[in-house]
Amino acid sequence: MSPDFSTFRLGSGADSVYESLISAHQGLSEADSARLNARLVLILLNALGDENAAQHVIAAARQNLQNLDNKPA
Amino acid sequence: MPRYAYKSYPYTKPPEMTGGKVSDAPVVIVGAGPVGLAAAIDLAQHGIASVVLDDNDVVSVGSRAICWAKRTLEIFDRLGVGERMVEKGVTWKVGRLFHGDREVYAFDLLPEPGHKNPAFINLQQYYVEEYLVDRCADFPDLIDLRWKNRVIAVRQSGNTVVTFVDTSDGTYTIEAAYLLACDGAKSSVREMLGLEFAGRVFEERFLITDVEMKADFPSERWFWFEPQFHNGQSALLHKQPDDIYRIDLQLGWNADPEEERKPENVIPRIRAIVGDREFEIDWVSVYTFQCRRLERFVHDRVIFAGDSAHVVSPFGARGGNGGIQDTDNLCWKLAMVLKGQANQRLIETYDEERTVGADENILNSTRATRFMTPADGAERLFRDETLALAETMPFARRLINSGRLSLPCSLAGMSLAIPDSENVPGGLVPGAPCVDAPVLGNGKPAWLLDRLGGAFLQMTVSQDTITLANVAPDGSLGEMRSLACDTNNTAANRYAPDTPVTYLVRPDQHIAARSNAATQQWRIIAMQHILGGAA
Repeated sequence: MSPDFSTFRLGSGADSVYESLISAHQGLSEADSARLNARLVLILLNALGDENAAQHVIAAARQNLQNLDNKPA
Repeated sequence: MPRYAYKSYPYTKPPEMTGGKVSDAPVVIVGAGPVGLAAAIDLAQHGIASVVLDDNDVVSVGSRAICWAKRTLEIFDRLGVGERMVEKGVTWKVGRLFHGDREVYAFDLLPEPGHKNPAFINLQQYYVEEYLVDRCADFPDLIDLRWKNRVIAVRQSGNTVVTFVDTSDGTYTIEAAYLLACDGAKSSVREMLGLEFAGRVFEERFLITDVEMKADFPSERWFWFEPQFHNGQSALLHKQPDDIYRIDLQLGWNADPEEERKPENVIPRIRAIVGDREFEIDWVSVYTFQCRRLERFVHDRVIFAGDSAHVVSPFGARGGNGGIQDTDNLCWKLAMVLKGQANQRLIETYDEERTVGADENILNSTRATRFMTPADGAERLFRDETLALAETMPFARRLINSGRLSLPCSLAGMSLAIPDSENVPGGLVPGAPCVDAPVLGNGKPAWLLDRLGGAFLQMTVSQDTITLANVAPDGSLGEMRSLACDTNNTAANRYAPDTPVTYLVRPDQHIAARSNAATQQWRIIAMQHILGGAA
């Protein structure tokens, strides 16, 4: 059974977390912004701490992207 | 269809200039907008006289503030005008969010029954002001409303504030104990005192239009991100009374406000939304978003309330509603100080409580503005991907921010909120605004908030009964009156879910203290704490 990633879990702190996320990017170059996102993802995957869950979020994030020509091996 | 008929209120030569009785009102209110008028009525209900000065002689031109929140309607009920407003207004509680042409999310702002007032009404500011002006007339000895009286200078000395007023007949002065500056975002009183109005401007412009048309849009708030009819920007639709619709359209920072206001530019934009319906443009304005506030709202004898004290960007209905919550918070404190029942420090708690309220409003409207008008780069990327994910993942729908709509402020944790002295089970915490509930008074259906009145009150709620008694400044109790819970025990479920709880309720219907073993001593200590200004 795939874990549930679609349920809202941030509660009343959601807007604050979102604000911190976009504010963290302020003043960064495009390349550094991308690096920040990459680090964030790696840290979050580790925080998730579950291989099965990690595989599912990666797949969920990739869904519905427009260019799916290059399917992962 | 009847379009709003603006009438001008008559200017009368002030008694100070005719040799008549000079005003001895302890309060001068500058500005006869919703905030100034609400303050005059609130003070009058506490027996305090005021002179209201306005440089104009008509109500708001254009609909301006239209969304009035439940808490504001409860305050208007206490001021005796709420029912008239709800009757005229368009009641709504559902907000719908669209991305492109697709609906992505709908939210219900009042999902539970058992409240007299709806989550929101839409009512043009001109109606709100007209009804408040009408209500002022019920207090001819306490409210002296002076149109075309423009304040040109304010001087404070010792315990008085002297206001210099200009009229077509010349200038005159009024002396009072306090001046309330309710003169709006461009407050002249604020300028006269040389006070900084710090904050930020967002580089965005919105076109705001009132469109008169016959249409069958539901009574809901509709917000579009990137609709096809408006070239990838944002749009908002609200229904108002008299077949008027409010349509807000994001224009971008580079838009020319003068050009955008021209009918030949407005009409095609509206046509794109409403299709081939017949419509007329009733009012147009172009605005930028700003979030600013005074560092302090109380400057000795001059007190700021409403937009003169704080401005927020729209889309949260936090401007007008925030201003009415200001006067609700201030007027009973001012009245008790003027009557010698409370220490002047009590007024400082207005500053404490309402600067926190203003910050909450500014925080929420700033976040909404950033979501609506993301900066290029990562901010836009996250915004766009939130909208994209929302199609399939429900969590992302909750991150979409088209404005978090005005909710009552909690004063929990602030100086006047008295911490529980024992473990009180359930109910409302000190600082929370009272919650409405259906009750029975003498066997007849009634609403709890309507029965609270405007004085300090002790309220004991048990499983089936609510006992109320006014509390005098010395802590003594007035005559007991009782109400019964409705058949669902709604009031008990909201206030005393487990065992009976006794509340001390402030005149602005916020919980001051609670106990499950209320005594005379408990009341005395609580009243001393509050009326001493919690110092």
